[in-house]
Amino acid sequence: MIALIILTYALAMSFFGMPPLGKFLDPFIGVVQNEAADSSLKGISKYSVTAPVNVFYDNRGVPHIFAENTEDLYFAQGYVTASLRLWQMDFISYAAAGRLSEIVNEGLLDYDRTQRRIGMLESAKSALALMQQDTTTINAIRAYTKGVNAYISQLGYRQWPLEYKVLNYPPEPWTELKTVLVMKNMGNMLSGYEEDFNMTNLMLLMGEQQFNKYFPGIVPDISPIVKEKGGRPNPALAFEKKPTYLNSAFVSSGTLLNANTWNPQLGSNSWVLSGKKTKTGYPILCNDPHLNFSMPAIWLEMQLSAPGMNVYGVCVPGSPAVIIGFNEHIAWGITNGCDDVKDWYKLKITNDYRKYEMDGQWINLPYRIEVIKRRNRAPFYDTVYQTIQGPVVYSGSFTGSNGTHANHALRWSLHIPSNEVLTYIKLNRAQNYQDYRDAIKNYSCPVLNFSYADKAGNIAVNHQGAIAVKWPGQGRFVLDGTTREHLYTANIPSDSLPQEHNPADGILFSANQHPTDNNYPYYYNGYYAENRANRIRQLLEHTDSANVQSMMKMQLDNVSYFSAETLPVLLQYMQGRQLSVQGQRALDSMQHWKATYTLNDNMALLYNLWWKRIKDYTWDEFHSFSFQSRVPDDHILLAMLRHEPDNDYFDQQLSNVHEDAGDVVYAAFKDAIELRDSIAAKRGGPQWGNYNQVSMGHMLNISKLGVRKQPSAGAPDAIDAVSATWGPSWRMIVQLGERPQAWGIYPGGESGNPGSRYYDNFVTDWNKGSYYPLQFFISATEAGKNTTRKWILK
Amino acid sequence: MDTKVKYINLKTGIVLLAILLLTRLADQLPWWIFIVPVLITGIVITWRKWPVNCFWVGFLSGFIAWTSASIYFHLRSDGRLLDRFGILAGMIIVAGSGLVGGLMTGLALYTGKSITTNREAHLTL
Repeated sequence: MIALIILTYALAMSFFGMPPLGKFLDPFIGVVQNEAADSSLKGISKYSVTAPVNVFYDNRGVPHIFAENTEDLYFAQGYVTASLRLWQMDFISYAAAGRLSEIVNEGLLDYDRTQRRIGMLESAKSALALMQQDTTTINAIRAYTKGVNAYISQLGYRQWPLEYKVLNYPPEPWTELKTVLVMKNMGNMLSGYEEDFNMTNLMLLMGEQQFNKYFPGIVPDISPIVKEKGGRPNPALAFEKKPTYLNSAFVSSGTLLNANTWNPQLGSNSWVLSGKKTKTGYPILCNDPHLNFSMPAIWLEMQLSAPGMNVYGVCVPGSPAVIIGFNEHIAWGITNGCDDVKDWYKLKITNDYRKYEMDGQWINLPYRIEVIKRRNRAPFYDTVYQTIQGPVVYSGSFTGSNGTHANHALRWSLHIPSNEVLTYIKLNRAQNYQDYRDAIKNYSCPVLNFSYADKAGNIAVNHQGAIAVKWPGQGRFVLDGTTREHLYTANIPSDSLPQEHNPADGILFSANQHPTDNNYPYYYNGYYAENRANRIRQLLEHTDSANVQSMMKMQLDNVSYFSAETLPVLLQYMQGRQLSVQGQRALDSMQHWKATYTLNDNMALLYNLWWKRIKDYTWDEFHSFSFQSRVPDDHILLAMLRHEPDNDYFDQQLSNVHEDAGDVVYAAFKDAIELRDSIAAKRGGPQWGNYNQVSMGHMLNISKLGVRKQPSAGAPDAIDAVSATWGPSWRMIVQLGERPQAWGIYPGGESGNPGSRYYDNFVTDWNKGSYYPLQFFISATEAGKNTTRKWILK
Repeated sequence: MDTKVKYINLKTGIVLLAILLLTRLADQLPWWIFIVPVLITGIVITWRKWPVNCFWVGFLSGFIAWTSASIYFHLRSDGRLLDRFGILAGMIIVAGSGLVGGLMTGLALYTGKSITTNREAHLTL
């Protein structure tokens, strides 16, 4: 008897982080039940919809939801999203709130503390309080929440998504706050970068002149989103004066360190063509946001239809409405605005953390206690101090990955309560340019570039978000936290944000480049990328009578604008240099290279290694700084190669001779040949695809549940910005017209269940550069005729 | 082993299989609920004085029931999940499931039998 009890108990418990074996291996409820391709729940009844809602699934598993009113629609969206992606959205809400310690045994407490301390949970709560004041928003979120919970309430252990069984915790009820957390998570992903500490050190080390030469604001060869008409040059945008407070007394230099987690190429493309540039005479809108890949995929494709609205596009699991998409009248896209909206203030705090200095007075330092629940352990209580600038992220014993941010306050636009959900709800219903303007006017974080086109022929682009009015240099460097003078209080008014509407040349585009030229009256800074924008401009200027096919070709364009610019300069330096027979052959082939990063290109790998080596040799000085620093942008190096072959940076620190640009380029080429050969031997050939392999990891890092190492075309600088773990997360092309025609694809699949055929079924087609026609149904009747599978919620 | 004993063992096995499958039709009951009727079967065996080799008959029935159920559910669906992890991991899951089912059924039947046959006897396998 005792043996039986012990055995049953042992099998019901979880040991060493393993799921409880009894339940997990039980064929009737355990892991094999997750093999079922589709949820066994269908024909749902008894739910709080006022009229039956029809959900039609097309041949790719995309749900098309037709409801009689908006609330039923969002209820159904919540229900259907949960049926496809419950674990993913739930997990993201835990991660955003800093609650992972509740579900994982150990190792994530520091992560949770950081999330709490940067204010994710706190700002989600205050944003929710704001959203609750708007009936439209809160009704949508409430209905969505009810829908998710209606789904969860039907689940027994048998129907739990696999990941719950593996980690052995139950799905918890969805809440309105969780929806806001999911949106804040997106905001953090897109606006979480800053390099204030790094730039502070560099400015102090290099001095004003050198700093501006190597880390300039606006540079000549750019294609800004908006060209300011009739403005006067704003000197602060081109040349950054050293702010007077910034001196070695302010920062004791030498120990500052900056963890570099950002990927500056994490960007996106979007462009619109007016009717005069297209074959049909109606505008075309193209968008491909680049994000880190994950399985389940970031996006979920859906059609949402109710009286007054019929919209198709991609949603973020966990949030109501469509985020990027189109309806019968308009289409819109988004790219990251990339502005610096995250600033650090250096504080003076008393030893006991009771007071801090402000304008010569010592004022009370308020705090709150964050309770972090832990699995199988007592909760952890964390004290977070809050100054008027923002939370003190690192303090006392919690110094994060490096000690330098300690006792600095974080001011971040993500903290300002705002209602992003309403923007998307309104965009989904928008019928014309005024509706679009009204939808985005209160949009605040993260800063995004919205692209717009409608069937009346209008096109527009808006650099939209909460961007503070700053004095020149404010926020690019660490700010002084002891004076109110360093606080910014106002935002650039919505009317004055960079925007363009129906330009004469009929093209608008955004690809994370500078939003303006230097005629913009306000100072701003950010982390912009210019190469893709330059390439897009180059292609669009030569585009006439564009159609969907030519736009697909453009989204898949694998030419690097920057490589094409640089190659002739490098080749010039190689003239008359002594090379091995093999090296000479490679150089000859390089002469004909068109800077294309296609799957089978034989030169791209060599070129990439070559350029990387040139960078390493040139910027070796940066590795000997006492602080960790990023190196200047590539275009700075190109300008040096063109005009300053004798620049001191070309000289190797560790060599006895004096090197110039030619020596660096030559030595780098010889190295690159060797490196290329060893990589080619390992990977079965020098073709670019063998080297550029893309992976989509499962969110729990279970390798077999992810997509691993698919050879792929594309490069970070190319429009088709596919790289190892990130790239175009949703390619969409919409041809407006009497009835919109649209194509799209994302790497992943509709279902979050690894046992489903719809889990990763788009990946191969996506990687090949194929598109799916998006089936936009005008009515439920039409949807019924063209689909085979249907749910009714009543 | 004479034919009658074989027959009784086989009959017990079939009864057990039926119990294992039928108790699992209801989602609401805890997953280990099948050990209760199996235990009662053990008691019945003593009462009727059937010559059943309890642990091994129980183990075999449990093993067969859980293994074949795992294989059935794997085959009935697309079976993509186990396929992702490869044939070896799939076999471990299926065999592991058989082992769990077998051990629990065998032990339950044996326990049911032994608590009524000899209260003084020590529980040994």
